[in-house]
Amino acid sequence: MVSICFYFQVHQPERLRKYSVFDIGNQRNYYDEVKNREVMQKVAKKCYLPMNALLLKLIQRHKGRFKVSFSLSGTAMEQFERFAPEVLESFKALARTGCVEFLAETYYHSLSFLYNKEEFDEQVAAHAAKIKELFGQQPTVFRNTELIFSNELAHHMEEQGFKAILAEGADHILGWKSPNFLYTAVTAPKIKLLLKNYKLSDDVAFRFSNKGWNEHPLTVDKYSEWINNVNGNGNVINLFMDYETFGEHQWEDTGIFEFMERLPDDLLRHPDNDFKTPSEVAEAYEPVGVLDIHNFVSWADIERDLSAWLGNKMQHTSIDELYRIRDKVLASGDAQLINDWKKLTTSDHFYYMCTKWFSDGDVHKYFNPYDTPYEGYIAFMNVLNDMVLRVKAAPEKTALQLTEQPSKLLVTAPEGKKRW
Amino acid sequence: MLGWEFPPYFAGGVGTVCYSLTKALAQRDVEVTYIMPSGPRNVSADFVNLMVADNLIADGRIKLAKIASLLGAYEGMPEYQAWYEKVLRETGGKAGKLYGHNLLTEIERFAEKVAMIVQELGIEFDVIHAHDWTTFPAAMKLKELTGKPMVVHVHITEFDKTGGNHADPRVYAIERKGMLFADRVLTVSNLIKNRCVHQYFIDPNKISVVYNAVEFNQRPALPETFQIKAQDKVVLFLGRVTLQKGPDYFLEAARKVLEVDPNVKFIMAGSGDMLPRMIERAAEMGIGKKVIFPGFVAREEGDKLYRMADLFVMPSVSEPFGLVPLEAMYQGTPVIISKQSGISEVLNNALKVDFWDVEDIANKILAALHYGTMHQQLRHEGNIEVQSFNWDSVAQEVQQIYHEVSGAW
Repeated sequence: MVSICFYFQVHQPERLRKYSVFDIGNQRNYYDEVKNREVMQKVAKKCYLPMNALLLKLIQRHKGRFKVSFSLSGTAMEQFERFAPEVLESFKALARTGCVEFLAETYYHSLSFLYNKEEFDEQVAAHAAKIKELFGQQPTVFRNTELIFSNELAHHMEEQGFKAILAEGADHILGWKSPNFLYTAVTAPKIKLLLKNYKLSDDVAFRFSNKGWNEHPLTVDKYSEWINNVNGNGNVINLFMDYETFGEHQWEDTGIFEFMERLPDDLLRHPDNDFKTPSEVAEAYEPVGVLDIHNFVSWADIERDLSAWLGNKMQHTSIDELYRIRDKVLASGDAQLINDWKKLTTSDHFYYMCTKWFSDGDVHKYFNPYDTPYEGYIAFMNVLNDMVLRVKAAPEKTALQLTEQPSKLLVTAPEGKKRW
Repeated sequence: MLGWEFPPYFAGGVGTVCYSLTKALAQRDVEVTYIMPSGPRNVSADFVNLMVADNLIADGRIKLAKIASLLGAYEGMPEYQAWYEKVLRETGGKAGKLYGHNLLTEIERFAEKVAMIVQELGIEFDVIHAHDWTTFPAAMKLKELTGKPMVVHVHITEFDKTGGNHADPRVYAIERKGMLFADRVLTVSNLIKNRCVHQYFIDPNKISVVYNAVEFNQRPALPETFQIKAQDKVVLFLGRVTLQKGPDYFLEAARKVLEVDPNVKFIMAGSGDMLPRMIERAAEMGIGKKVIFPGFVAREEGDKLYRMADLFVMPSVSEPFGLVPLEAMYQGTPVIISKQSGISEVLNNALKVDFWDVEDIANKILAALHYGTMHQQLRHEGNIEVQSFNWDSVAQEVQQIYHEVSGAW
């Protein structure tokens, strides 16, 4: 018996506009609404709508035997509501089939677990509430931003009552072990770990249309055979990928939709195969071993670590400053300010500041709305400096100052007035 | 190779590029006979020296042939005319027999001379490589004469020099004819490549982009502190003060910066036709005390300025390549460069702006001066990145192109 477990990540950040030093104290619209709308509507058309329609068709065709799971970030769900409500409706339709599970994550797709556990718990709770509100489900399986995982996270989530957690099946944590079984973490005996089979996942997500790949073209027959080969040698194949793989990273003309349409037929033809959602996998199988993952792992880049978000000093400074002002932002009682602050916790803002891709120039550049990582830093720090002014203007009149300020005149002038 | 005077007698960037490229080619065992106009120093003698350039490059693979000519790398018609008349006066009219009475006739005369010398001295070669339009007619003549493949190297076009206005149709015609006649066109950036494709209607398949590199001087030993920096941070502009380099945008940005941060000084180094106007303009804006105009600076002085500055700004309206930011980065100074420059196509560790977006330039100046983490990162990463711009890799690309064009012949 081998179960196939699909999990698709759906996330869109609230991109900042090129917020200038001269906007500090004068402008509170931090977001590039034009760009955000444009990206959302483009991806909706190329990926979310056609792929949701296809999944619905497959679920209906296989009468409950085909199942998938999603993790939708809060910032993505809010943008569906604003820019593409029809996408939200199509997710609701999927939810109603009973064959789709929604996972828990941080509302703002943040790195909060690394910086502030209180903030992290709040964001997980806010996300669960949103999922409940939209889809009527209470998530029981957790996945952290970009599959960032460690012993400590396993322990924390076990205490929060989750029954399973998703992580990257990186070679350096598994060694000779197979990702096709369940494990537990050395710090958390009860919570089950589902590890991404990165080879089979990336065959679809990254290599599907790569003509330089010696297995190109990837046919349904070939891929089913690889999966069937696991039979007898594993319990579950975890195929975790960005949902934008379908139609956006792999364009429609690569044949990705036809591939996905035929795949369940082919896999279900084998009597020992089935599809399960993550919580069903956790119910069905027992862990075969214990993993000791002290350092954080993620599913990003070749390094599978945090260096995409926390690889250089700009990334460290900006995120340190952000979390340093958290208490005072919350104390201001200004709901709009708090909401703006939380949106800045989204990991993408730090990803845009990544400089390591200079050497291998790849996906980072494709997703970056800025010309250079330095511009990402400037926009972020300018916004943060404006927030400090708003904190200071709050009734408590808190004394607060960032270590990095663009100009004393701009950030110490009396509040509430235009400065020039 | 048909190019421009080697240092120390060069007029600007193209001379440096020719020199560095020739040297790097020689180091890769390419034999180069380098023919160039020598200027008016040899007015009394209309002859050519074919000499081994041991005094410049200790390497027998480069031969220099200087041809007495008044051609210069950057001149247009009026500049040539002025120089011609000056030489005429100084020689009591004798020069009238030696040089063309205008730029176009001088270019033709230079072409004839090159052809003559190559024949008389029996110079042998496999490829003709000509730098910028004034040497194109000579290259075409050589190609006709010998049937050897011809490569033209476009560092700048008439459109870039004139900012798109009033391009001289006679210059344009020679540029275009040279490119059409060439077996391969090398451009120093995609910016120039696109220009050749869209404004000169050249087949993009025969254009290769070959980015320049930079030869670095020793970092000067300097005192750690500068008087000027006791109170203020320093922002530097260095280049010809002409329309093409965008000095007016630099001043506009300076004003915006000073409105919110008075502790900044701006240095506009270089000379050019817009300099007097810029000095006036700074005074009009009321920032005269904050902007320093040291005039033309030699290379070593330039290095000192880079070291002194906290930030270098190149707001060029159009910049075919743009070597200066690389020099600044080598001295550890972060740079802001205009997106309308060739260098911005390849440089990662730089802040990029549209030259006309004065508010964004000011925004980035303030950010670079005060966001210390970012300044440090630009400084550090930029210094590493800049070392990848080396002439040996450029020579390797050019050598490959020589092989391609001679093989195809």
